[in-house]
Amino acid sequence: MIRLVFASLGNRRMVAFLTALSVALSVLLFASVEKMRDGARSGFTHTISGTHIITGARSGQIPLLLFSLFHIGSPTSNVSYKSYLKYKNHPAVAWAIPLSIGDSHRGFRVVGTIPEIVKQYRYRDGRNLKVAQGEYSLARFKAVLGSTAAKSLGYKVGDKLVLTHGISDVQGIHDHDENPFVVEAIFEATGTPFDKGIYVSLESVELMHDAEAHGEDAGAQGHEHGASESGQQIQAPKIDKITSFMIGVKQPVDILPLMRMINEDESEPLTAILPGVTLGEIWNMMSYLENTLKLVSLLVMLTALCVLFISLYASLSERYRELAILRALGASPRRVASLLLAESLILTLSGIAGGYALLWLVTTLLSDMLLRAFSVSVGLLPFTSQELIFIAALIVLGTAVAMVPAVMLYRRALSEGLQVRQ
Amino acid sequence: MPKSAAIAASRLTFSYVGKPTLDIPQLVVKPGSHTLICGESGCGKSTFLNLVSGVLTGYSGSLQIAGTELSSLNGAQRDRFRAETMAVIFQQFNLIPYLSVRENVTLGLRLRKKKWDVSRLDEILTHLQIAALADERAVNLSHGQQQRVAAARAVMGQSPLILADEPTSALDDKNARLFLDLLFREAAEHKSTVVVVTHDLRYKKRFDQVVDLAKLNRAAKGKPVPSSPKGISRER
Repeated sequence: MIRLVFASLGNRRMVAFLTALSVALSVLLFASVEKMRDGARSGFTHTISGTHIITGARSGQIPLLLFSLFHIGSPTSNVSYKSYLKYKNHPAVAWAIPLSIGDSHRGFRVVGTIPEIVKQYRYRDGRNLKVAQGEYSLARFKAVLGSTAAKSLGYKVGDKLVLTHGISDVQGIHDHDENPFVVEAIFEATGTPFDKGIYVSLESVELMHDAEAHGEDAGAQGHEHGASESGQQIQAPKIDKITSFMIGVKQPVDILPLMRMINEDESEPLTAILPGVTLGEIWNMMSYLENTLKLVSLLVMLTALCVLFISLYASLSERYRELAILRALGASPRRVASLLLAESLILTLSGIAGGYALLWLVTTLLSDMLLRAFSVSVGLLPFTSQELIFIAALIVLGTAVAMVPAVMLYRRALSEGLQVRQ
Repeated sequence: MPKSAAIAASRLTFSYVGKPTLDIPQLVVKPGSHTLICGESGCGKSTFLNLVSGVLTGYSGSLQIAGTELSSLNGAQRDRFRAETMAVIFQQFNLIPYLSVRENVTLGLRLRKKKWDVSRLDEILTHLQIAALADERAVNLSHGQQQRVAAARAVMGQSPLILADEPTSALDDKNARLFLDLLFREAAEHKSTVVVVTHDLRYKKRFDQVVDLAKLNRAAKGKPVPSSPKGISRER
């Protein structure tokens, strides 16, 4: 009997193909909106992991997180390097990474830090930073670029770049052009704001600022500048201020006491935050964004269900006469219904499978691009709960639609179906 | 009225969209007999056949097939009853266009999960001279070939009652004779009752009973209303 189903489908292979295709496209559309929604959310909340506390000068929690991780806004005041060292050497602290944010290069923030950042910075469930090109050392006047920064600026390993004080799209009026940095390495894309940074060592930042101060002092002497610069490279620069620092503790149980201790530090007014909690707060503030995407998902889902209904209904109702013949030859209602059901399920299931095959193709081809361009990581798996609901709804609807011609067949007189209408 | 009548109609009336099209005072077809129902177009031949086969419903009066009143059955029961007791050759042959000749002929049996004899199938196809087309799809056949496939399907079922609506309309003399030979042989073998509706009177001598529905049907157009079933004549 399954032969009859396939013979019937084969007879209408073009319509059947188009029906399955329309289901497939609906699935593709819905699933991609869902994956993007999910990707945007996880891309955001998984910006950082493994870092327990972020500390900065006393300020709001959200601004501290925004300038430290997202390179949005500026610190209102700095943290003394002394405080950083104090907490770095605290017995409960496993590691501490300083961040000095303020300079920029053609619109991309320059982050002064220490070479250990490559070991301690984790994102999306503990993934490590990886170097895509070049040799990572973060030595003096060497810069390591995030993938987005490298791509947008078109820099390759070995290129030179000049940093600007403050942030500006154009070459700044206050360029540190005495001290060009050399691009020594480029990080692999992480799909987080980390990709937009230019990373240099803290020492380089201090040296650059010192040299500049020196250059301004010795403005009249002009060409002797080179000599004074080489002179400075001999002595270690004195690091005075940073903007914030990240802390990883040895035992999770120490997180809250340490946080309290930092917040209540009497020698310097500091703010300590839990990055995961603050990320969640920011995401909730932007929940309208997610709700909009949810609404889009819902509309796509309703449209897809309508498309399925229309195309199945159209392809099934043209078979009315065929079904009437089967009925006249003694096919029981159950037999007719199961034929229609089998056909409808074949179309629906192959449509769903086709949709995911298309999605797989698209994500495989575009995931790299999406990650780089939008910091959204999209993969075929896992299925979101909405997707499972959607697939179930498609199958239920496919079944229900299949019943329509069957009911029609038994409600109208058989003679109607057997007549050839001219 | 004897319970054993293959078809027994009594005061059978049927209206189509409010217009009376059929009004038969009495008509009995004996089991195992061969009846020809003739009459000019529009006299209600096909309507009568569709009522007997249960394809058309909503008559008043009585219409019993082998003792079963058709109006007492619901749709699904009627379908099962039809499948079990009769084989119908429809005017529109009602073949499934994308199935092969062989599949079309055995479709009814397969739908009812009945087994069939392959040699019998081949013999029927050979007799009707369509054996060479056995694996051809029905859509590729000529009108006459399709009619023979429909005939083969009806005979294949070995039903107690075989109804045929203009079964020879597209057949030449030779093929019409071959079909009737097969029909009567199979009917004799399985003691089937045969009712053929046609205006083709070439073969009326081969039937036990000839019913002129134009005379019998009081609702037929332009006919005086007869007081008794005069339209029935017996031959042989």
